[in-house]
Amino acid sequence: MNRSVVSAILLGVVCLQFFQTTASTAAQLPKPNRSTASPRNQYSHIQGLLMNAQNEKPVPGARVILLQVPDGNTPRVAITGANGEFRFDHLPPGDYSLTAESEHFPLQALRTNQGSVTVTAGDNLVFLLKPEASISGAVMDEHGDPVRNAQVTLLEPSQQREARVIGQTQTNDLGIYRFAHLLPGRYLLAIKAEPWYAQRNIRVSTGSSSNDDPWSQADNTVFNVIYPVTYYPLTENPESANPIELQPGQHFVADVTLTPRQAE
Amino acid sequence: MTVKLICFNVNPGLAAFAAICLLAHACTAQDPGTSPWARPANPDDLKYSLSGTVINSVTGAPIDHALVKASWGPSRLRFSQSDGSFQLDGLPGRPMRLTAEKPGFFPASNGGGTGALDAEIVQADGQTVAPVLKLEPEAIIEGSVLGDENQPLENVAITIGSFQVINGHRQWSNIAATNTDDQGEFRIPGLHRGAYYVAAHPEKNIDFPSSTSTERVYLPTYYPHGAGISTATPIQLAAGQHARADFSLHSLPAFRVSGIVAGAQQGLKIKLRFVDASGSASGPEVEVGAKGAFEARVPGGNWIVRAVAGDAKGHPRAYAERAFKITDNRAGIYLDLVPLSPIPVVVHLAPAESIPSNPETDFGRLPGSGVMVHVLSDDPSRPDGFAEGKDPANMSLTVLPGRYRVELAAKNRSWYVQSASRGSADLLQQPLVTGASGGQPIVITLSNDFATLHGSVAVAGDHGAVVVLVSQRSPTDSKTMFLRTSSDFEFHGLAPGDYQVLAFDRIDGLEYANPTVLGAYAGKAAKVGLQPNATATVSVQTIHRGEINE
Repeated sequence: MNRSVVSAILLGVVCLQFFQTTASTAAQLPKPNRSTASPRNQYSHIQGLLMNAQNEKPVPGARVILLQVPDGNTPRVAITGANGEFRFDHLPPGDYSLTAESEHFPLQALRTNQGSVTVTAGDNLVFLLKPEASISGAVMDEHGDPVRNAQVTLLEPSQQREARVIGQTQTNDLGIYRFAHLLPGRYLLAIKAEPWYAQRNIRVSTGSSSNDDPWSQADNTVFNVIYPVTYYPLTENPESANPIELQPGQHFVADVTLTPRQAE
Repeated sequence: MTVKLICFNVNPGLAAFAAICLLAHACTAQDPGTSPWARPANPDDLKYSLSGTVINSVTGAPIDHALVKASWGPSRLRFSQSDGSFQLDGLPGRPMRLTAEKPGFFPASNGGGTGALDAEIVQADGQTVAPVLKLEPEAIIEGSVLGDENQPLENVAITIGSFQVINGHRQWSNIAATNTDDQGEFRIPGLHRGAYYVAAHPEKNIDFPSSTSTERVYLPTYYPHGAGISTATPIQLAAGQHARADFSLHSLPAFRVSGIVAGAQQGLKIKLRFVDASGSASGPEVEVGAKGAFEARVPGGNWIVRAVAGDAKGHPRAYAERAFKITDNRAGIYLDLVPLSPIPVVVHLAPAESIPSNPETDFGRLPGSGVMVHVLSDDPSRPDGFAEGKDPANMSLTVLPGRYRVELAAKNRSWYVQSASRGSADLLQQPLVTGASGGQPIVITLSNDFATLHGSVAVAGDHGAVVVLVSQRSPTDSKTMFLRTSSDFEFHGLAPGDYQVLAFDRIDGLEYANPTVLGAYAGKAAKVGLQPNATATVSVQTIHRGEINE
């Protein structure tokens, strides 16, 4: 599966500083072969192991992308070996971003809980790659029938700002949606749909001799309805929605049943 | 239309007694919905109730939660119950339209069911009808796309197309498109019965195993293993059928082919596609950058690369094509777009001398004057073309080089196309063949000494009939008229000449514009000659298809 190299660049946060002596990689690290820091203006290398963050098994055949920042134009790509090993040689002095991806491992940058990682040239990195997760489910109506073409939005909640949209999709004819290639984290799901049977502009008076048409008024109550935007599992208020805590490699099923409300 | 009447089978004396009792009850009852035994003095009185059923037209199974609607201006709505039954109350004694709908089923206007009917709900005996509304279930094609080592291929474009009979002509139609998900799965609902070609376009799925090994590419594949439509097998769908189309694709070693498409005017969008030089297979479609640069992964072989620059409406404006053999990586391919020369379309008015001079025959003062010129190719890769231009007397047509069927229709019903030609080609009978340069104009003459044909269908089918009118002068230009409730018809604005008139119980899938196909019905056709400014009358019998081997 292809990933745009350009998008890889944008996600890179690792800063490889060739002349800093205090390494602080939290993606640490056995350092079996620590080499001497490279003298200024000499070429050096970066090498490491790419491992599954869930089980610490090596990830072979993955693409590891190295890019000099901020002005690197040509990324260098290494494919990990059978033991997850990778190596970049002949690196000129400068700062670099390091990202990696593989089948079932979405593109991600080398980072720690504290944020960016600073490493020293010659370190043996251990790059822990989180396996992808997914969220899927079915959107059903109040009759238990699938809701087609419902718009499902995946959001990343934030206390500081508005929730960020991660992705959008539509339900199929079975009411099913799916978000794949997700990183572990907290997510909100919002569902927007229109009842397929909704009727607007119901004439509550037929203009008949009596002008009394209780049947139309009853129809207006039942059929002039909307579905409010619904957050998983079942709330109209994003503040009270339960975020999905998605674990590495997890395939979370989030089914939603919509309840109509009288249109205003 | 299926209308089931409520019937009784009882002793006549007892029935008379019961009728008297019920009539007396009806006169005193307060609930208007339970007294349907006499026509009301005022049909707007909301006295009637209607009970019926919604069923699956294929299986006969009841459909629950279908929306049933009775409309006569105002409307009544109800969901069907779990047994498919429904009851609508508060109805007037008027004719009304009954419809049923539910996702997953076609409404009557689109499908083969009878999910809608226009009915007089109160019968002569005062009882309401008990309609059975039949909904045709949609068919679905789903499947998967797997690549080398059975890896699911994600984001592969899936297209579904079909040869359909439109206006009596068999032509290719793109029906639907989707993409595979991360598991390589796709699903396309909403299909009518018919034969469908399914294609996977995985050319963007390129394997880059390492910087040193050879890149590999998947080529477009028509289900199950075809390189093009000619080698594909269509999936035959019955109403409501669910079919699978699973693709198992194998990548091919690919070479990098790059170059420049030059000469595009600003605002034009370039499409570039490789086509196998034999014409039997599709190659990759390639994105062209803003500056005309492209880079493709193409397997070795003989290829034609074709670039088409189109405007915002998708009309082709410039074109380039080159053939070459790929045996290694190749850079510097240069495609120089050549603007497609518009074909002038000149329209003359030739008012008949027998018609008094009318100043409105001047194009500038006759709203809706002129002629619609539509050209269609059998090749799905060549888009249709329409003549364009503000001046209806001087339009132009821009199409890719090729062979096109020409459809012509005067926009004003008081005029007809008397002749259409390009050079020596009579476009009423022959196709339009174009090259890259525009060349000779299309010359069309409209006249207004039209003829009129009245007729009647002697034996109409249960669902009405369709009258087909075929001109001997231009057999591929046929006209149709659907008769629902009437058995009489009238065609106005016809070119004088000889015609065949046929009536069918249905025309779905019938290539009535194909003289060879219509030949099977020649014995049942009425022949009529139409004179200028005259009206003729004809009577035809309905042909029930299936009785004749088409």
